[in-house]
Amino acid sequence: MSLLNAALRAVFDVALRPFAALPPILPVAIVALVSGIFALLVYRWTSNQTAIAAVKRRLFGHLLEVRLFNDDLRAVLAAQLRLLRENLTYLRLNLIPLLWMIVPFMLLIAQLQFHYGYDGLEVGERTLLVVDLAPAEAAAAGGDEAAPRPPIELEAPAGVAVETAGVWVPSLRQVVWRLRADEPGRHELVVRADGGAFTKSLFVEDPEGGALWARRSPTRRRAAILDQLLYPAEPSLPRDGPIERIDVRYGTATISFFGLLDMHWLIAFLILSLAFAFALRNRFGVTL
Amino acid sequence: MKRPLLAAAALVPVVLAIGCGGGGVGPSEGPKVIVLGFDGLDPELTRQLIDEGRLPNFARLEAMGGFTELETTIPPHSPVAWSSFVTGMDPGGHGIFDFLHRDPETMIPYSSTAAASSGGRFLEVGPWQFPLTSGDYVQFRHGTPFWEVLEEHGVRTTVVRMPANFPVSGTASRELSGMGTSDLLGTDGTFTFYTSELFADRDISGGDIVELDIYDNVVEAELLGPDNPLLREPVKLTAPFTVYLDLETESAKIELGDQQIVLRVGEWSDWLEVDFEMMPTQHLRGICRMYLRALEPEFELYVSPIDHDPMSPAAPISTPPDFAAELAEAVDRFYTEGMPEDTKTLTEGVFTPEEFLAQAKIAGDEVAEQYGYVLDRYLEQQGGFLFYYFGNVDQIGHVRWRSRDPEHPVYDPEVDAVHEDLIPMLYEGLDVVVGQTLDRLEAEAGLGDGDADEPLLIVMSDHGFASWRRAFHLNAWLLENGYLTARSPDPYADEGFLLNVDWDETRAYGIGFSGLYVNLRGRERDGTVTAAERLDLVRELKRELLAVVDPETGEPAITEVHLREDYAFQQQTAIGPDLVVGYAKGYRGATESASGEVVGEVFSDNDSAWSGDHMMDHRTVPGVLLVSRPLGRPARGIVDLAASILAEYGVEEFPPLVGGGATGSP
Repeated sequence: MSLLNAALRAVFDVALRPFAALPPILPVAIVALVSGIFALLVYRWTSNQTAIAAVKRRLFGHLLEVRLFNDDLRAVLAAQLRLLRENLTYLRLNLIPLLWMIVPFMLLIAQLQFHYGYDGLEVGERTLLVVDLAPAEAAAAGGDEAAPRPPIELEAPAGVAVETAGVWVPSLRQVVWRLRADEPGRHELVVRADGGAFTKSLFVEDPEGGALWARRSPTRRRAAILDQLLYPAEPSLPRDGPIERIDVRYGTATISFFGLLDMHWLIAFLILSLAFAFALRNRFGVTL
Repeated sequence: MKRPLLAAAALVPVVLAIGCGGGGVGPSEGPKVIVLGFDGLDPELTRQLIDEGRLPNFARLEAMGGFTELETTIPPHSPVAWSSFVTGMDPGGHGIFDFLHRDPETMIPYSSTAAASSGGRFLEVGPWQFPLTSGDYVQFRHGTPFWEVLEEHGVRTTVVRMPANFPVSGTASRELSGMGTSDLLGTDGTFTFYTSELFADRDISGGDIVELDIYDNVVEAELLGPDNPLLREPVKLTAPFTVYLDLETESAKIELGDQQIVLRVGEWSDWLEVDFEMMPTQHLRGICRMYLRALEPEFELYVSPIDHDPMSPAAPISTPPDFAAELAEAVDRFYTEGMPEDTKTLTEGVFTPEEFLAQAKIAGDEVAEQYGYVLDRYLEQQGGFLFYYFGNVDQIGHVRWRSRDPEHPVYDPEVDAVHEDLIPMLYEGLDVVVGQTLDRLEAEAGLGDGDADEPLLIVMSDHGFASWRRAFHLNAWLLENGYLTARSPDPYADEGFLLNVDWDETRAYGIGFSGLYVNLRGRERDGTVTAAERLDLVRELKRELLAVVDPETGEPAITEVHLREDYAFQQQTAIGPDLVVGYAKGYRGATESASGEVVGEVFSDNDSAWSGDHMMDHRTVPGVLLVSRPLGRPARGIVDLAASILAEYGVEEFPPLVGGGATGSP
């Protein structure tokens, strides 16, 4: 999984780099177009197109039935029941292509989320670096308010100012620092704990440099399967290490949908990929 | 098949055009006129600092057009004076006579400028009530704002933080409300001070002190909002927050909603969003700042008044409604309450002077930074009118004027000598604003070119300032002289708000800082004085008040008393006081008396942190007027300025009430 994530990070970083300074709706629309075509191909190869076409015809027939016999309550109710049954059949027929698509789309969405889902910090902006210690590490440190703080240190590169000492919160097993972004760029913070060094990226926007949209990782977590699937933007933390997760707080980003309104990139992506799929379904000979 | 794609392709340029489109520049809208309103700027101190060379841009402005005193209103209170500026009428016309008025039918005092009204009809379901008609805010000011006249003549106007303009008039092109704008609780600003000190729980003026417990270095507490308007029984809205203390590093992590911050002792937070859930899906949103004052020996956390979130305000604070959000997006969220400098923290002893000044600086910096954005946008226009208000000097002057007055009763050389130059430094800050404006107008709008439509910069203040050393308890004087009778013989048991007045035995009473009312039969709920007796009584009161001498100093305490008949406009005099008391310089109506309290002494030293004031004889506290060129229609008083501004745009005839008020136009 780690290797797959590393490969996907590299692919998406390279593929999206040319669009970094452009309105994000553009790469989102291109990825939505490719995704729509991919979805159509998956449908064509994995779904029972004949059965889908047949069930759609029957659905249409039952709708006509409701319309034509609307003065006959018994006929209308029977048609409604048949509509319900055909709908369930339609959903069952869609299930197989959806199962084929769910993993690639999850990987895709997870990658795009870290490019377009978060606002980078602006120069001068503050954020928190939150380190969650593993239970064993916290227990070794005492784990209660009277206990000494764990021996954990933060090293920040030039361009990032550490404004506070680490605030030790025993009840949450957390050490928290407040940072200030002084220079744009991708910075690597180093957390030293239990003899190990663990890095965490911090992205600060460069409004003059133009590269506004790049991979931002709000969290780096241990190598659990689900966390690797959902948070692929940085290599996982060691499973038996002293740190459970390291978080940097970024704001949630919205993108402009062709200047009409601002929305989360995922909504724009879903709208556009569905629109492209419906627009191109006949060209690919797919019944949806 | 191709049609959808073609249609989509055709739509893209249109959509992009919409997306890229900004506000256009309008047609020619007369000359550019900018009015900078510096609340409380004192002409005497301004003159002194200009002469000392400390206000080079004020001096530059004086050299261009002139510097004069600007006669203030009777009484010289901010909401009164600014209302006169807005309408060109004296209080008899616009109906704002003081900070406080009273309802003669109930004898309950109320804020003179605005009030909130809840929705009239509700659908009640169990414990819930759902408003069928929306609640509203009522602006009590009468008359026509001069910018409304300008808009009617095609002049685009921007009016930012105009005092006594809440709710906003809705008639300017862009407008943000100012002094008088309430916080989310509906008050002028109520802070909360959380402390672990035992038995500290109490309500104080302008704030609440909340005692809380600490367990394992964790504090669980709640921000207090207004009553939930969707519940039939009054239940406060709350927003929980948690503070994790780290005594070793003298800092704390604070969690409020999904926000997390770290503060060291002595640090202020940025704006935090506060989300009060009224019911699932229904929220009331506000903003606050936090200040971590101490962790040991007691935990102390100050939370500012919870203001309307300019991104989604629950009250009409701007025109258009999204103008507040535009300002917040351009600069940052900001204090939306009318008087953001939290003076009550100082008068109630919660903050040290340094802590208060740090808070006031945050508020002042917000206003100054936002001015840069507003000026940028204004200068993009062809012409139009801009008003922008700065209140820092007034609010800080109120609580720190004593540092300029070694004769003040609570002058403390150790504390005050440090701040001796504080207020002049604030003036220097305003001088920077004037310089910035002059530079921009010269570079971008042709100031000094001598053209017919040369821009005009006006710097003005509503009143000046003076030290307030001695307090005059008007109601105590009325009691002592037989005009007022108290229900309780123990004046110290008085709850204020006129509750201790025996109305059947009272002929006159005071409410507000200058107002003296006759207990008039047919007007007051339990009136005792007939209309025929009224005039003799007010003349007698005037005569006796003018004869009052402070036994401590041997000097007269009151140097002018005006009858309501003295106002030029008589449209709204029924709600105003029968007499307006003008205190000698150094004297002011006592705060207790202003809220309708009857205390046991007529005079007292002013031992409050509120050491500077202007609610005195209006002749002693004039405002300031500086102009970049002589006004086409000169103004002697603040009441004349509306007519002068209209005249700059060639509007001479409308409305009939503008100008020529109590002070008259030269």
